[in-house]
Amino acid sequence: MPLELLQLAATASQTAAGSGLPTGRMLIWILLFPLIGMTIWGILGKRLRRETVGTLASLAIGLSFIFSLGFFLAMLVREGHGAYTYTYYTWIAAGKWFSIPFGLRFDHLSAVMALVVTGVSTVIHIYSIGYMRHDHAYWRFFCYLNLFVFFMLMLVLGDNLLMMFVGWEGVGLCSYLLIGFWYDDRNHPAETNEQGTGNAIAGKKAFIVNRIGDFGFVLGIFFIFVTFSLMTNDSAELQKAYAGAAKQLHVTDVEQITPLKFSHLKAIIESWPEGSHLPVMVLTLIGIFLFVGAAGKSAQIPLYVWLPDAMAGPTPVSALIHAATMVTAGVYMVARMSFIYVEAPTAMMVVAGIGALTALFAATIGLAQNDIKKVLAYSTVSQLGYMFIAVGVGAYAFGIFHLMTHAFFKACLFLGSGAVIDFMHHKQDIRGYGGLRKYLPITHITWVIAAYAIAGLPFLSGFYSKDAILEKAFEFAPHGMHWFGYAVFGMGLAGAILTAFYMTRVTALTFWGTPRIPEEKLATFKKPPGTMKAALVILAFLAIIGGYINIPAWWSSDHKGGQYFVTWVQHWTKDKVAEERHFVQHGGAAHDEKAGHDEKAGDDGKAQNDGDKEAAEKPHKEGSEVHEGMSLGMLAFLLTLLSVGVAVIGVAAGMAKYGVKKTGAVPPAEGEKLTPLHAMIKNKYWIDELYEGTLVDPIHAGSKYVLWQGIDVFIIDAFVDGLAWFTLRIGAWVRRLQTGLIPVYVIFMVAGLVAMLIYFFAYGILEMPTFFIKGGGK
Amino acid sequence: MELIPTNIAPSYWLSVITFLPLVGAFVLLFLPRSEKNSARWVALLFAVVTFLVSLKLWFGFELGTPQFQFVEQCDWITFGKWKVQYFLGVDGISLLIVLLTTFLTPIVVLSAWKAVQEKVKEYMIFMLLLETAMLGALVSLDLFLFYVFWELMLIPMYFLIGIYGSNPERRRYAAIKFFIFTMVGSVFMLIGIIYLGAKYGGYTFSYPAILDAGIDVYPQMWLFLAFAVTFAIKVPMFPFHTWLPDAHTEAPTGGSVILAGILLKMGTYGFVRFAMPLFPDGVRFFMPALAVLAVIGIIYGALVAMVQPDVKRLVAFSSVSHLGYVMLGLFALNAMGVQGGIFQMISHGLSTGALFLIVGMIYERRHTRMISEFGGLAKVMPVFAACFLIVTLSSIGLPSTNGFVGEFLILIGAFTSGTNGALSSACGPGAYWFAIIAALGVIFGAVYMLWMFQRVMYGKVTNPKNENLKDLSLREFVVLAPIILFIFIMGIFPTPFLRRMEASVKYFNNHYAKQFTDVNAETASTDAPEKAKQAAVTSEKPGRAFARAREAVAVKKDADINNAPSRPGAGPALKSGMKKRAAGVPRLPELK
Repeated sequence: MPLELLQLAATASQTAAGSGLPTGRMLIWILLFPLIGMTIWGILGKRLRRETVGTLASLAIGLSFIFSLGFFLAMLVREGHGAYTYTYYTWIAAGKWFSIPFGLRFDHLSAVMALVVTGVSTVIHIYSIGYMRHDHAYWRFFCYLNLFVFFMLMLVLGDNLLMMFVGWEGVGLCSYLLIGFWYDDRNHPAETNEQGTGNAIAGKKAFIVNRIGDFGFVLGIFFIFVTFSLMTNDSAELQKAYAGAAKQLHVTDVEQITPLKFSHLKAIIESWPEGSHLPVMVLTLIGIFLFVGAAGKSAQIPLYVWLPDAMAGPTPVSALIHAATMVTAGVYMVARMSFIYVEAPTAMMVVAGIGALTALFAATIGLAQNDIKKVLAYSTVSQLGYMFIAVGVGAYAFGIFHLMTHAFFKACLFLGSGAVIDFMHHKQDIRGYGGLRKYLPITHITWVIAAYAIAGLPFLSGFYSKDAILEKAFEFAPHGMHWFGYAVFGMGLAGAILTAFYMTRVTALTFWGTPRIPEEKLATFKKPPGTMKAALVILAFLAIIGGYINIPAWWSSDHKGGQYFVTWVQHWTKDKVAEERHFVQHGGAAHDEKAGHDEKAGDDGKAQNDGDKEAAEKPHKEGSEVHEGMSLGMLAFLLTLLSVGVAVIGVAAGMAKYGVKKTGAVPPAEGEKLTPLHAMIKNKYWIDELYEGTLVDPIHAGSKYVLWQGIDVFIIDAFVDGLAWFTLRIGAWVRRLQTGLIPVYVIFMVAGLVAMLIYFFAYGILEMPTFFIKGGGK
Repeated sequence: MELIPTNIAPSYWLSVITFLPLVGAFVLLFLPRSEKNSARWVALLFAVVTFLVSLKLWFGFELGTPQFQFVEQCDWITFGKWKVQYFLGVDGISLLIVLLTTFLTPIVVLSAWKAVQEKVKEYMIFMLLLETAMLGALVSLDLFLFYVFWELMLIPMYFLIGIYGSNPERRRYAAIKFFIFTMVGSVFMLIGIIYLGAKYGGYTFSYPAILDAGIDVYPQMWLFLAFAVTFAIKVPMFPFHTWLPDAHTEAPTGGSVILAGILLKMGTYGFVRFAMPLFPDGVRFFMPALAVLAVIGIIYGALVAMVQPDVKRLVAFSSVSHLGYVMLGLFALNAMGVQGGIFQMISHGLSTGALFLIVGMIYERRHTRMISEFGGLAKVMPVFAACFLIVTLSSIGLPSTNGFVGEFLILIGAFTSGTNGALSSACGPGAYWFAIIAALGVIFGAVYMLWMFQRVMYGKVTNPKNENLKDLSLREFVVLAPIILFIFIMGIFPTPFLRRMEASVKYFNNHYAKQFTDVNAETASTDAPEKAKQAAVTSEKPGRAFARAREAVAVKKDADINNAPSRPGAGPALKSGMKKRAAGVPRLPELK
């Protein structure tokens, strides 16, 4: 095994020395830099100087970023923009049909993700050099952070579901470790109860809720395997599909096809023989199960409860893991598995519906939180909801687009909050802030940019991505049900107003007005160091320009006037064959992603389109009329206007309530009487208490009193002890006849045994009585 | 006898490995009692040498054949027409467990360096004796020889718990409970072994011969039950598990490690080596019940572990849960499930062994194992915390550790089998629910382990007694490091391990398929036409063999009853049905 690694390293360096484009084999280096870094800090970190650890850890991630960038550029110049893939060795294999490679895949989708992950990580590492400057476990922090990047890249670059799962659980582990980083609560006095201390509990909660999601993910994998493996399913369709997939993948033998590998599974589904239906029921089930996993990782209803608690971790962690990268893994996974979702409109409905509900629901909670990080946490949950709306309505590329812009502005917001918290000596309550603009000018500017980006004001990145998502949601009509798309759109719009409102609220209460603690005290507080400011500026800059990547034409390389970013991602997610079949089978979802940048697809789609409209009109006439009545361009324009409108309304409302001059509009202090509605929102609808009361406590009590003390001690042990007591009584009786103790017992046992044996052998009745088998065998 | 190579080259490796510890124990006998350190070093020396010699098995093992290797065969006891052989060999199924045994023993000896201060010599003798017994049971290919070693395992373990146990009042109770439970189980097996030898082995107990003989359907039922009860107690499966928490809690650290690491595997090994291949019809008949018990064990063990106040009891119950996975994997009867099951045996041996070592280390420092006594140890003992964390993660099956590979293979194997395979044919179409419910155990696994870890390691140091605890010493680190290394190696490069068991597992699974196809073919050709039609109706999928076989058996039973056989269970129709299986092996005359 180590031999394989050495061999690997040797060839990688060999190819690196040679000139020209990188080879797929070198992909491992993207992963190795953080891993090497993590190992060194873990073992030696304690003996190194703080600055050394911080700088080198940032450098490790920076190298990963440079390698990712290199592969990305190589893909750009490569003929056909082909993906880089490489299989290193067989990871797990059992039997003829189950073989999981250790393979990496750097394609259009993972390129975007890898760049976002390594890029944002680098910036946040640099920020952390400053933020963690006083912490004595500095090296442990960077060790965990490097490890996180390693697992995240594994998740993104893995070429099969199991590799993705390694990263998937690995990032969960790092999240657990980093949430509980201050496990003795030294910087963040959270409530302590009999279960231990706050931060460690929050970490544990995150891991366990994630595990519940992973349960769904694993079931999804099982169903995929059972449905698409020749081991269990030897139907004629699947065999034809395998043959087609083998042709498409240029492999000679169908046995080389592993249904758990993304590209292979995609090929199988795409090669499904014409005229026969895919098993839509199972695909729907798979889609929903995988989404349960996504809901756990990406904090969607009903598994979102861990994310707000996760804010117990250091703020750079919240920025990196709980805003920019890890929590978006679910969105990435749905986009990666898009070829399954497009075939299962019901699963799409579930994804979009839960996304919309979460977007709105979390936004309402965000209205009444007083902890600056909690506001941002609920805002993250809400924004993730938007991403799921996107991938749920089939606009995968836009989901990834929003993922990217969100990574920029939300990381900027979190780091900004970190600067504030650092400045305010780890106080996080916005009721104690106010007027910080004067003391933290750079933080203030970057914060405002990012806050308005998330609010969706025009010309900032959030506007472009969110607007596109709402537009696609409006056109969504699963099973021809237009009302569903409208409902999702409506909830998204309502969430957008609330987002604009609460972001204005938190901005005003933090930076504007007059300080709520004495100014002379504020003046003595230490300003954040340069590394923190640099990170904020970089991210604010990205939060502005991030949206322009997708503006058509002016730097599009294919000169078709398409939206460049979206076209790029659609190399994987845009599934022509599947899309057409989707229309044929289910009708209705006509306008979904008809950007028309690929002429052939456009023509085909159009032909199908007309038929579909007729089909769609029957169940839902009104919906179709809207589309008939105006051109698509006009519709898009109106929708854009609408979303700008709501953003402006939200900001204006926030200004009116908490704006510059309204210094008195501070939220009520603890213990003050709240209106019932306010109390409900502030207490997060008592969902945590509900889970505690209906799930956690009953399971705990049941295990303790029924299973352990009931069944184990009271029934089984009592029975065994009773038996022993009975035996002893017999022994006592025997003792009166003879003298021995245990030997007597043994003698009698053996004697009985021998008697039985003689009896059985003599009469041959050891054969099982026939009625027994007959009775039980059926 | 296809499992035994025709030309057996003389080989002494297995004998050397098996009896080297015994030699060590013998040498120790002559040491004066006061020479505590010499006793330790001698024991360590013999354990390490045994391990080094056993590496020959790993490197010399030939891949791609299900045959037994390093075979040794000669007559041992002749008594009338009875013949007991000295017959040893390893195949892909036992190889890894043998290596686990030789790997863990030196670690256990080293871990007792400081912990055991009284009767050191005897402790080491018991340990080495135990190793010989375990290795002997694993490599025996003669059922009687296996039984001898099997019973031999009890004695040192009984003394280890009874003499070196932590609580003088409870340890005798625990030791006797352990002894009685396992003893009662073995009695049933002994009857079974004698019956098998007499009826199918030609008055020998040769495992390959009995395997080839093919056992009649009805005796299979009770024989399987006899073996299954024995092994199920050892595993332990719910509801036979209650000896385990007591034994673990009272046993000294080394005893717990061996108990969890290897002794429990003897139960699962017994299933996969003896109970399942010898009695396929019995397995099929009892599969629903056993699979249900396995799944109950997974969930039950996890839930009860969650509420234990004592770390050691918690880990003990977690073993019940983990071994439930192993059993479920074995019953899946496909490549993934069985290989996963065997892999999980090894990885459970490592991770749970390490957990007991870790518990032992804090017990040495604080002389308590109650969770509530601890808190905040991560700050006082950072290296210890890191080791503990890795082992914990391995135990909850985090991907990239060994725990994940076994657990995942088992679950996907059981799911596949429950959808279209052995489990679904034996238990009905909803059998994939077994895997789904078992997967829930993965969630609870995270709950109890992480909750325990958090309460012990995280938080503020509230108990003043914990403030000045020493971090790991070099010796303690050396004890844990090899296990941690293998946790990662087996998680990242599991293939070398999986490949070593591949051929044997394939043979194991094919053995089943063949048995059932034979029964079916027989039905189709000899029975009444409508019954033949019934059996041949469906266009068959591979996994349906089970269902067909089951129908066939049911059909035969009817025929049996109709024919009103003179002696119950020996009906002519049934005998003819079994003949093909036994082709080539002369059937022994019935005992009268």
